[in-house]
Amino acid sequence: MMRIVACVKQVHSIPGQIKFLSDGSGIDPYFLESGMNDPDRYAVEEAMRIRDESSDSQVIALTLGESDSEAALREALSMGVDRAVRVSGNAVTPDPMRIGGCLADAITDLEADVVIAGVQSTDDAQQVTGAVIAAVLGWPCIVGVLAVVIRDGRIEAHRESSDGRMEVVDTELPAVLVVQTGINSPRYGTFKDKLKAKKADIEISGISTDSRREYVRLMRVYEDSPSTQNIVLLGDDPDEVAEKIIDLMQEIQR
Amino acid sequence: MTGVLVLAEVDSTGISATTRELVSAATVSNHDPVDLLIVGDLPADMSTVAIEGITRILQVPLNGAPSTPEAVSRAIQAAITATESGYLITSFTWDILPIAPVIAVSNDWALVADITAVTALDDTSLVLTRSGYGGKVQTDLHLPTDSGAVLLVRPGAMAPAQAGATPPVEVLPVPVHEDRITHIRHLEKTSTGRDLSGEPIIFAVGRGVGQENLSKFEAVAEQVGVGLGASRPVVDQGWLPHDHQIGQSGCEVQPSLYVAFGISGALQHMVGVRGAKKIVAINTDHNAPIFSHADFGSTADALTVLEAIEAKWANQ
Repeated sequence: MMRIVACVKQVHSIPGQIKFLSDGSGIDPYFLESGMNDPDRYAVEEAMRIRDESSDSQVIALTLGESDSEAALREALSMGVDRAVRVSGNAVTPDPMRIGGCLADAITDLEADVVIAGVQSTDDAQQVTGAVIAAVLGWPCIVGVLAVVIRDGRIEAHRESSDGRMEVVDTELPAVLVVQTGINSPRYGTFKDKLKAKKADIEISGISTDSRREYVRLMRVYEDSPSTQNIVLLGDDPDEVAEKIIDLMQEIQR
Repeated sequence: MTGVLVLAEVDSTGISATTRELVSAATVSNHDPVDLLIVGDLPADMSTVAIEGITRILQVPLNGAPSTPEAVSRAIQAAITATESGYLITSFTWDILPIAPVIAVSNDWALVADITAVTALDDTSLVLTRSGYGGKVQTDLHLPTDSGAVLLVRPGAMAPAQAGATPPVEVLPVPVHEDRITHIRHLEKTSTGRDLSGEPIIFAVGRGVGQENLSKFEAVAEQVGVGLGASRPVVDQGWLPHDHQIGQSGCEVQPSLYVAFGISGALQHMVGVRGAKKIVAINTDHNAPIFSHADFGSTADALTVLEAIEAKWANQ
């Protein structure tokens, strides 16, 4: 059996206005909206596509976090994954070596053949978790995947290279694929799927964040005041803004 | 104190300006020496490696072998082992993503990406500042100076180090090992529009303009004779073909004027417009990070501004 692990993260997104906790430890949860990290939807969808095109495969959604992060796993279940596993611990500190290390340990326990991760989380956006998992496991890692075929224990993938061209690469299983957004069109579970996912079993991994050391410590979270001192504000009258843009265009074309 | 390796970015002209920013980050703490690591060929113009604060240039030549992520990782690790360095500082780029974690894991070091500031807290600890939530939140991380780390620094965030004397070059042996990932070929771009890299003026659209209005933006861009760019989400949704995408994994542009309509300004987009001379940002969210990169800003509705441009252009 081929086991495909899709890594998912429960993230918060920030609407226009936010308030910080007075002790500097984070953002007031009242101001946050939560859900599965959008780039991870592509990872889950790709894992299920690979499963559906090969016989005898299984998709396991894997997350790391406190119990509230199970919401992301339930979203993955409603999309159609076979199993959901949580590594328990605090995922707030952006410490990819600890988080990636714990996920890699859990993946070893799950005896996975392929790991699929999204390109970044929309909150921390360090873009390295998938590659840390690969490095800890000692597996090859392909970053920016936009197409993939798995056949006879080998992977052929199309990936985005930094010059914007598509590169075709080949490697062998086991491997980690970091998929780019846009690789597929992620499905959403129906209302019925969501009800079923609500009652589904979530397995707790034997690994927790206590299994790995802390590499960096979170000191303070605060508002980034946009450095707008050099910006010329054009107001919100569309005609005046359009006028200015045309002036700037004509300066160049002159 | 252990030494710091700064990974040089070499392009056709020499060492990139970004590399000098990395040297600034490297000299914040009193780690010594600070070595500049060049993987592959030395730059044609060696005067660009004369940067203040650099002790040595370490070169790991690849002897004509392709600079695959695995080959670069091996070269960096060989230099770390040879010099017993405790830190690696590189730019936060698309190409470094599969490499940096290999180095961090091989040495059991910390890994922090997209750093905008490095500050010495005291003799024993550094503060690393990075942003989150699309640039709306800042986070300070504490890193003890005696624990090793791979630090990926956001291009353009720090002031570049001054020019200095030309440091001596030491050549290190090339580690030989086979790659597990085989490059097969590059697919040629299936271009549907114009090449944006040479456009003097670009209008760019984000998800904020709405799919139903895209054809309007295409028509007006055509009418006024400017290039049409897009942020990643617009391309992901299939609203525009991939060759319109500007940013980290799309194309980089250097227009004289960049007008961003409904683009929030996430880092992954902004690295693609680093070369723009003037940026006009139009976004109804006055907290959008794009305003901290823009020369002119407005919170007017993007479509209404576009329609005003269309009308005025037709009447002149």
